[in-house]
Amino acid sequence: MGSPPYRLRVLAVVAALLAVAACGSRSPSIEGAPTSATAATGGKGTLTVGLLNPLTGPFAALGTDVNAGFELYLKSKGGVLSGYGIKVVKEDEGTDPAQGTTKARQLVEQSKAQMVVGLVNSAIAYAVAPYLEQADVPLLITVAGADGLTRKKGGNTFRVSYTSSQDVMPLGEHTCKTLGHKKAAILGLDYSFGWEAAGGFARAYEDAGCAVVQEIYAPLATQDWGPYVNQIKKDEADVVYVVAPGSDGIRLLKAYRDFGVQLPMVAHGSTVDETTLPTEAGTAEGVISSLHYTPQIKSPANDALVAAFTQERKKSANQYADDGWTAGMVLEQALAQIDGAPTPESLRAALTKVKVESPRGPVSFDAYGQAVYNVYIRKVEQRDGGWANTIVTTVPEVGQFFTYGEEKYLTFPGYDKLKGTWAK
Amino acid sequence: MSWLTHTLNGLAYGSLLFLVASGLTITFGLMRTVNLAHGAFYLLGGYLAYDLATRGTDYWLAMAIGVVGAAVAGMIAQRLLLHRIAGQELPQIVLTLGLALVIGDQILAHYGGDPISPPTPPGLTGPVELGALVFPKFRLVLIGIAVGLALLVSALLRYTPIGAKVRAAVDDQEMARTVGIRVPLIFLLVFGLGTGLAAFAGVWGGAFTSLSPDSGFDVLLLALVVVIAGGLGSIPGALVAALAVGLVEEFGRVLFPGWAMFTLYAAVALVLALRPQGLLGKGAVR
Repeated sequence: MGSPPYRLRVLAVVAALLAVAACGSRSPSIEGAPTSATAATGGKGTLTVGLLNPLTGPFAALGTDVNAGFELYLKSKGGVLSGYGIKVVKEDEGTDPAQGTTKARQLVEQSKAQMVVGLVNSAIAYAVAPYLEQADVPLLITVAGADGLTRKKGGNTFRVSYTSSQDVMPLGEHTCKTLGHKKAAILGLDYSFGWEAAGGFARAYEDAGCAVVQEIYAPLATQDWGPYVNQIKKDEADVVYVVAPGSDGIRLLKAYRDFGVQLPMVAHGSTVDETTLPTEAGTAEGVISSLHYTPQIKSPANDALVAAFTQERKKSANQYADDGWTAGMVLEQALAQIDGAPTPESLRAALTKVKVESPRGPVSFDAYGQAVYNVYIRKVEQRDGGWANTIVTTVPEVGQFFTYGEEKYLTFPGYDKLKGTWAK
Repeated sequence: MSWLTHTLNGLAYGSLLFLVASGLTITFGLMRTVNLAHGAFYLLGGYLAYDLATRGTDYWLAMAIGVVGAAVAGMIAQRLLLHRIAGQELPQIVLTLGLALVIGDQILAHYGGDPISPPTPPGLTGPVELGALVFPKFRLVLIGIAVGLALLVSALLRYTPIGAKVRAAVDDQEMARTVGIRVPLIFLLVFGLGTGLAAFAGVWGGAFTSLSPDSGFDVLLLALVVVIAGGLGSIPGALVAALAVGLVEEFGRVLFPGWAMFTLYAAVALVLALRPQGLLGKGAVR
């Protein structure tokens, strides 16, 4: 022991570990945005924001895009929103509720976050939201879509992104009335998001006077969609409604085209959003879908997001980038209404009054903290050598209760109970 | 008619599973090296081919580079890491798991987490129509490839001098060394063959399904199921098991959609309860 080679080897290992540790602390999303070390100081004080998005696991790509959207907006404002220097603390939401809650606790107790922005996984959001309410730290959700997260009036939770059923209710009406497809087969995913996204479409579609003739649900991460695609009742249905975000969408579309199914397809917007569209390419041609965002929106606000995001991440802007960016705008306008040190009460009160002109169009919140925004009916078309969701029509000011009104809507049974009952 | 479609599709999916499992049945089944990085080599091949093909490289050349690249990476891992812990299963588990995580994270850092899909081989896109039957060309060809590959690898192991040396090296390493077989070299080449097969499955399987940095473990799980149910080290066993798994998956999904995950593992549990050595396994050799 203690011979030079041994000591050298120990030194080398220590040096390597230090190098790895140094790399690890660097933010994976963007550099140059304010971090705890470089937080700009504003005239009215500072606000510590905890960004809680997945940086590992299956949702890592989404979480990184949301963080990039938020931080890029912050960067465009020099790290100061409405006179407050924003100190950003980032934690990894991880892949399970226990880890997510631990990280939320860490943000609140150690980093003294005064507000938490983020959450992609609804199961984690269901665990983190009650904790933050009890800790009296306002929460602004940027992706997690479970309908039930914004069902409490005047609560602690706000959400800029969609509820699972919000964006597709207008599509149900559009498919029946405008496109004139009278009988739909539903092909979805067998978990809460899939049921809610299928149910929202089915409700509006049937109430518009059309009929769902078949419901097929496949497990999450289905490798081969062949068996499901082959079960579609091609003789009965005249349109297929599809819910399959991420790689499920890629596989589903591929199987759909490979087996030569000729029925037109309508879809939840996340089935063909810009995270998967470059890979889906020609298999997605002509798919009509609805979502609160598409990079095709023509407005100065969206041009700013698209330019910043494309330059930073070297890929197309998408709904997650907009969710992060819009969260930044919402925070900015909330802070504009506050003087002095922000308190949880003043933040919540200010958030309810926010009305911003974000890349996706006007955004405000309902009494339950859920965002109200335009929903775009889009069509996948070839454009400039790539594929894009071009806008067919805009449905203005869509809320989580669509045209039903909150009192009536809240008496409906949950979509998990209604799964399988839409088809007559 | 739809029964024929479902049967063919079950066989096609089974063929894909065989492609994935063929490499694992060699490294894990035959060489007894626990290789949890198998799915990572599957990804490596798929991403390499995807990268090259989207930059305009000829499809077949891109595929060849992907396969050879992953085979070389596999051989480097075998030589530098696994070679040192031959026969020690627990360190192998930890080491190959770590390797899989490192490769997965490198892919995440380099290509991002959005799913990608290597192109379908040229000429094999779209459906063929045989009367009323509409079936994807690519899937039909996949069945032929799987059967052909099974025959080729079995023949290689059974009838060639190299195959004889491999079997000798696996069965009794010390005796093989005394008669002049270069066991480390044989192991190196066999491991390279296994990871090369994994990469080939990544290129074709990626075109069938899609690839993302975390899909390596989904693939690994199915490959393990096939290898264990088929019998360790048996190529025909792996083929039979893969096709059976494909059919069980397909019909399970059609007939009992709510039990999709259950039908597969229940069937495998049943097989292992009745034949612990797997369908065509030789029983306890050790």
